[in-house]
Amino acid sequence: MTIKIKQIEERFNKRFPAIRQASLGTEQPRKFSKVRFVKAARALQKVVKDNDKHESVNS
Amino acid sequence: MSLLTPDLATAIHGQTIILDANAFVEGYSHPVEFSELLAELTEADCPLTTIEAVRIEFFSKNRSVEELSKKVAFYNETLTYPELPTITFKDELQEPTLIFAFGRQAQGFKTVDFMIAAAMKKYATGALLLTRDHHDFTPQLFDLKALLPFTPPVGCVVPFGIYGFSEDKYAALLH
Repeated sequence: MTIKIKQIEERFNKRFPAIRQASLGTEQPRKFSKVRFVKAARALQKVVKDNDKHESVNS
Repeated sequence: MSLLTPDLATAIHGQTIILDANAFVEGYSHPVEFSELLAELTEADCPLTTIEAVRIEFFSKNRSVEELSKKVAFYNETLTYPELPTITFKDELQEPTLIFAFGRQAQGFKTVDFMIAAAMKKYATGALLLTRDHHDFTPQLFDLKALLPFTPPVGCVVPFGIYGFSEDKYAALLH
């Protein structure tokens, strides 16, 4: 059972980008990109809007 | 319109900015305008980061796997410095005095906000908070370095505060 859950989790997690965590404070900050930020925000906005639409159709 | 005055940019130069969950929400709601603010902060050599608990709060409600997936991508794009793991400020989290002081000054007691306060105490000399929550981060414990009138294209002005943890006010709250 545990193995099966592990496999499902692994498959599920493949869809997500990894989260970077600070370790010993040796990391260098990376450059902020307005273009990449806006692009990622727009992609999220679109999914949220689609979910809103889907919910209002189903209600 | 620039939100950071030259004096403020100089005052906060090199400080790490911890983003509250509401900054992420405002960020994806009004990305073009918010990206200007974040760009100004990074131009002042302020790395943008947050803590694990804020990520969990921001990721907490999703109506599809796709939504969470896009949230993760957006979150990663916002931070210029990796998120601070809880273990790095675990000693501060265990301080009853900090719980007492934070609880005295906040209108409500939210665990995530307390965890932000613990991280700020740990990195007091080098970290500031960007938040629009002025009820739980008050001038009784935090120094308001600046109030930034963020103006989205629609709706009302959102006053973002840049706060620093005050050791003096912390000591005063314990009396």
